[in-house]
Amino acid sequence: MDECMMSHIDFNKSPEVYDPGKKDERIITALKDAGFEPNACMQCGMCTASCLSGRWTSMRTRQIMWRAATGDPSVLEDNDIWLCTTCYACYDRCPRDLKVTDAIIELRNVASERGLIKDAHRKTVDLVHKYGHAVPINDKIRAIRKELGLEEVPPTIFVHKDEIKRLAENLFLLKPKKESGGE
Amino acid sequence: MGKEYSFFLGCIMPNRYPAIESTSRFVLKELGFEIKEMDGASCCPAPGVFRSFNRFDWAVAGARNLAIGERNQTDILTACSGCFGTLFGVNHLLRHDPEMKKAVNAKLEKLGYQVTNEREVKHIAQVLGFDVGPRGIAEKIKRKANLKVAVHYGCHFLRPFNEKQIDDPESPTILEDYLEALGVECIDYENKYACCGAGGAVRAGDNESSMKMLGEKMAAVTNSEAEAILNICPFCHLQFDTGQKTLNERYGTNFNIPIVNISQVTAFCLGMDDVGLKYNVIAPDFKLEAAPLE
Repeated sequence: MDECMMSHIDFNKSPEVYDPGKKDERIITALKDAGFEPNACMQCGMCTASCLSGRWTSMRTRQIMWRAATGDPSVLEDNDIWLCTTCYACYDRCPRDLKVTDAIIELRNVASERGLIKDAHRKTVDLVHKYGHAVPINDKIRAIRKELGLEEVPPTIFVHKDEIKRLAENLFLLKPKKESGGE
Repeated sequence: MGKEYSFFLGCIMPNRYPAIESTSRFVLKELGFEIKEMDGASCCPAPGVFRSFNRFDWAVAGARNLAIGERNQTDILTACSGCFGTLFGVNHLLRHDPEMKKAVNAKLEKLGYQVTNEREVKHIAQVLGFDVGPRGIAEKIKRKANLKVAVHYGCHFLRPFNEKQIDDPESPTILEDYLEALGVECIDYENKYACCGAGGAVRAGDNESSMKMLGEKMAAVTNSEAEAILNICPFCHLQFDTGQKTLNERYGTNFNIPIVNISQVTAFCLGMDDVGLKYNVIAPDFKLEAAPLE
């Protein structure tokens, strides 16, 4: 081990190497479900080059897809999978027609299955459970709606409390928060 | 025309920018469309947020909204690209995945609904840009708008292309052709086809990154000759409008570009004087300027 160490570089810890014994098959299945055949990705980097988010954040789509394609579970705890705005530029441009954006969404689904969801996102789910809308109405908007000649409260699920309750009881019942990661 | 649509409101349009709703209703009525309300419709639910948490539940909730439109026996119309992403996406998914459809309907039964996926989902920009079209709208307008805009297409109106097949997402012309008929001049600017930075649960989950993406876009518009940003999505509208304020407060910028939705400028050309731009956070004093028909 020691003979592999320079003053500040540890050649035992290449960032691209992970323990194949830890391969997470759930991740591979998720990619395939999304229409992303792991072995078909040639790591060309078109996705990263097309990524608006990556110009401003640490998100590197090609690296996410590589880690996911090799079943590396650390990708699920990486905040980078939550930095995709789902603009679909990478998906539309992928020369192998791999559904990159849908694959990222599917990785988020696996993260969600394991309780890896941010508090801010849990709050959005709470709003839908409470109001049936992710962005509920407020007094200021009620007044503006009246001024504009619209119904004060839009004729949606807002007025059907029983339906909101049924939605809340059946959909988006999130796994409790995992103690480490996710933020 | 005379076609009937179920009008899917979603969340941001009715609950944050109701002027987009009132102008959309006015425009559709003036153009001879019949509107049916979608009684009991919920959040679409948002394609970047809820689809990320549980894709199956997202499909169920989306299918529930589709079923309400089907019950009205009409196609479904939305003025929001996020809602379009979900409703069109779920319709497309269930049409192509019978097993998924079966499972979704099984869960929908508990909620008191069933979905057939026999109805189409349309975006208002598609109805205005193609179905009415530049020639159709030119016959209806009472005046033109003297305005130079930076057109913002957003993402889910045209992408993913293999599903939507409305226009080429890399160099579309549907909005420019339509706006030209209204007298609106579309200015080229850098990053024209880039995302506003709001989608994919990023605005809620990592606001700083979302704002940086917006800042790049705002700088490009500010450096162009455009007087306003013309959008086709209430969520993009919200991101541009409130986001400029956030950027100015957070980074000391002085962005001050008025934000106009396609329904607002269309309503103006159809004769509506107050199209609700005063409710914008940024540049509430901005007014559209009329130009005579040639």
